[in-house]
Amino acid sequence: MASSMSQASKSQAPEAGWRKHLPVINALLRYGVLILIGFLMLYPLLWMIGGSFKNNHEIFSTIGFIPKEPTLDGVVNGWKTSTEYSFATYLLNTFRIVIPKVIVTVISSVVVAYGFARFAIPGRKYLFALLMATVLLPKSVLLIPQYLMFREFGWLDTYLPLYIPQAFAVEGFFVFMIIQFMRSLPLEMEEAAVMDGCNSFQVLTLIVAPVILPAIIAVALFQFMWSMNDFLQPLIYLSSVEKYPVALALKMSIDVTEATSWNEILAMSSIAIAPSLILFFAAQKYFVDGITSGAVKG
Amino acid sequence: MWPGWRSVRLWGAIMYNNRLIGSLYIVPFIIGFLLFTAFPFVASFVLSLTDARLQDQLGAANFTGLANYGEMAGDATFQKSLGVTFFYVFVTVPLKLAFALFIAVVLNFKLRGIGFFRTAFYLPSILGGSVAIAVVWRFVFAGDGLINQALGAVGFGGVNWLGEPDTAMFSIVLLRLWQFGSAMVVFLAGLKAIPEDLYEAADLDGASRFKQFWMITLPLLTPVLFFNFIMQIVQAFQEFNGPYIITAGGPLKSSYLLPLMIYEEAFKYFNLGYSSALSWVLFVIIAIFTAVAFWSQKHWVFYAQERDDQKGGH
Amino acid sequence: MGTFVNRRHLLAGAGAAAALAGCSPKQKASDSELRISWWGGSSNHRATLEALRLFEDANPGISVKGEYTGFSGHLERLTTQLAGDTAPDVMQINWYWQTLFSRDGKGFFDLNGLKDLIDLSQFDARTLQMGTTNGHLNALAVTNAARLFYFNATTFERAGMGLPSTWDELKATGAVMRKALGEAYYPIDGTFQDFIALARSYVVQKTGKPLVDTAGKRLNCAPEDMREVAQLYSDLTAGHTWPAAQVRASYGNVPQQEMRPWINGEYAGAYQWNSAIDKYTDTLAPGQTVKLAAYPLRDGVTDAGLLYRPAMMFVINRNCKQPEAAAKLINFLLNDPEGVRAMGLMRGVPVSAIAQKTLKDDGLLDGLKLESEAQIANLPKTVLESPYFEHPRVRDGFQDILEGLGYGRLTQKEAGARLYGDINAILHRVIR
Repeated sequence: MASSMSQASKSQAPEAGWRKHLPVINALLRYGVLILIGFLMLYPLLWMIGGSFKNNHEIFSTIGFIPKEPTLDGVVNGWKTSTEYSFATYLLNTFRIVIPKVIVTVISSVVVAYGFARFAIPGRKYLFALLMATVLLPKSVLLIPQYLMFREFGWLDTYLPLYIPQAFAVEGFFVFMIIQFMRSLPLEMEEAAVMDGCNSFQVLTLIVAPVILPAIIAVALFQFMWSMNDFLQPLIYLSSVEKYPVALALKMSIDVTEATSWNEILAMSSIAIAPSLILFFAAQKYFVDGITSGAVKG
Repeated sequence: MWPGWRSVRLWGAIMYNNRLIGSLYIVPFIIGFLLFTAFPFVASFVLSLTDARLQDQLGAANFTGLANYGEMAGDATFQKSLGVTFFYVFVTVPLKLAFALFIAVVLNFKLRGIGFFRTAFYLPSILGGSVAIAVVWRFVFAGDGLINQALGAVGFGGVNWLGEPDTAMFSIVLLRLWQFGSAMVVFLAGLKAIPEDLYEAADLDGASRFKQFWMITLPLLTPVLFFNFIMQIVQAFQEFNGPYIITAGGPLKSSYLLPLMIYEEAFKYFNLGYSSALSWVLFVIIAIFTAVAFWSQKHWVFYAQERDDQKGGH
Repeated sequence: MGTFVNRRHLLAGAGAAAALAGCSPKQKASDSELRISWWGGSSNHRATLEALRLFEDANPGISVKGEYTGFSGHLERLTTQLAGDTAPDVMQINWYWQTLFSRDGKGFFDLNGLKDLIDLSQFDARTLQMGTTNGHLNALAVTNAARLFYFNATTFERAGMGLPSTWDELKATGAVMRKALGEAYYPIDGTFQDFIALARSYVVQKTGKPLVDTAGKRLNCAPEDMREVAQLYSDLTAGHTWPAAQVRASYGNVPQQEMRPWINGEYAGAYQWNSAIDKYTDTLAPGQTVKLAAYPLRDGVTDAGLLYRPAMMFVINRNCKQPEAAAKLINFLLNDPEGVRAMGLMRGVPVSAIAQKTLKDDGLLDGLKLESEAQIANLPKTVLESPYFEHPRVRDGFQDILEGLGYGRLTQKEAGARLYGDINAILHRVIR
């Protein structure tokens, strides 16, 4: 889309005078806006990272993010944590929870969405309404009944309650999103594949999934990110400290009985968001490359 | 070859008429719903009809019928909370959608280093309800915080963002707007799904960029826009982190969004029955809004299959 | 097309891998393992874990598992566990949580039955009483605490002022400090809850009775006493002694010790728990000191109105499978010199007589802590406050009205009337 826009401006005859500089002004303007907004977006993160290297007095007294008296105490002590385990344990635990969760979410959401989007299922409307209904209820109220249920299953103090439900497409948000992307696809490609003799599953995996890959990546990204920040669920289901994910570990030293070492918490929070950041940076090229154009013509 | 496949106007185009296979595809959802969602769902509704206390065994609760709902009608805190929640939704959703769409379009340009900007803009969403946000955001909005200092630099007086009931809500709104990254990513994915050849054809026809946006981008984006619209409404009604962390619902309950009230009723006052009733009221409200939005989609949402059927149309 | 076939296999493989990878073995506590839960900060965790280790050394055959978090979320989790009957054997609780979990005294194990394993003689009658409901000793106090007046001595010196020692002096400090140091300076600061505690002290000094009458489900005072509370708030805020609601709230939902004005010495005082005073001194910018002021007393006082009550208590799960082992653990942590040394002063100054002696002999009890303990010991304490005073609905009831007063939505008269009427209604509702 961008290339066509720049092509549009190129196709006009080059003008004389100040108009000649229009592309440059254009670029400057765009970069300017991006940098300004980007700074606003980034500033709190910069402050967070900078705070990791400040001592605790400085954190609350200065707005600037460059520490006046840099110190590694926050990072070192934060990594060692005040518990029997280092922060590495908590990071590992988080991955043990999040990675299975993301994988099963993606698979089940795509499969179920395909069913809704392409098949004449009996009672489709009502089932879809049921799917949406699960998204509408605030989670805090479901907590106790869900807890009792998982207690009956014997899943307490394990990671199972945290990702097994996701294997069954309980997250209506993601299913709905994939459905929308599927519905915005013209049927020609799939019809062509069927005429070539593919069954529906092959159409799904070979034709549809690649085309809506941006959406699938988005689902994976969101689930990854949100799971990393999830506090209440792990809190309720995990009682052993060695199983804590970072969301719990970060709050472990914030207490009412003693002063909190915020530089440690900021340092570890910065480390904790690094995986999501890296993932996003790596994934965003899927939002860039247009995979669709060739497929439609073929 | 599947017999009889054709577009059906009922709910949108379907591809296969094979109900059995279709049901097979959604079997995971059926199992998941029956296994994991149905019981808590129904249980929470039943709890709303009791005087259950959070710390007691559930069996100790007494059935009180609609008493909780009746109490709600006379509860001034509930009414205030409801009003505040509506205000929040009506302000945040349009702003967030517009902002996310605008930034997505901007970020779709092929400028050098655009990847870096995309990551930067998405960053606030990654921070989410993280512990660090609490510290940072309070810092930003404090009386002598970042925003007031910036305002002072351009000559405006400072605003008591967090201290006055009139302005406290805006700090929550701004926090949510700042975290527009998720909506933006979905828009980006949607923008990418629009085939390039459409734009090329429009260029050949001599259409301006603005016209291209209006006639090509926006219509083809409507399924994704619809999705974002629904989800933003739902998420706005369920906003919890902001008020919980930054203002604690105050001052004077001016930022006491309903999800926060639901949480406090359950986990602070241990009134599980009332909290469940509140959450079901919220559920009904969101369901109504969602249903209306779904009904409205036939007026403004444009699905590709329909495009094929209307050859020669728009 | 070859790549696509591989992708499908990959998906299938990933699914299988997910299923296998996630099956962490269900770990059940082994039969002789005790579970103990507590909340705290970093030093607290370290100290307690060390104490548990020492206990295990002294008691081979019993292993102890610590389940700990920060304060945020602890009550939610504990409540869920109690509701689901999966709570640990020994739990640390707040004093008023007894009203939530053991209204009839049967919510926790009766420690009277374990008298031979826990040395209850180390605890005075008043403390034991505060852990007893309906004759059942549910909770044993780890530490007691009271709210005292602490001031930033450095700021007061700069203003050329001495620390206030009477109520009138306290009310007058605001104007003097403002004149000497400017608008940004206040002699004392606190949240609404801090003020409510201060006001309670004021009222109880006059009435000599606990503020909440559990049996009668009402306030133990006259309407004009509540009017005095509203008056006190207006006096303190108007006199620039206590920051106005809007001024305080502009910093957001921040704990007092993390507010910039406290750190810099602009808010120069706090009416705080002696057990937690460290967190206030720790955050001060370097070069400032905190001093304890004499406790202001009204004339003819029989009780200083200190809310002297257990800061933290240990309870045993009522369905505990190994109460003897749990009792041994509690006794070790509270009464055994080794355990006491390891636990240290993290939770405040321990109540148990042996513990206090041990810490004093070791020289760990000094400075501000020692002074505070001495002051508490010398003040008259006859009143036993009802734990319902700290019930969440009661606290929020007080706060809403004072907030209304602070933001000018209520006049002083209205606030006084509502304090009396609304709080009584709330008490009537929550005490059952």
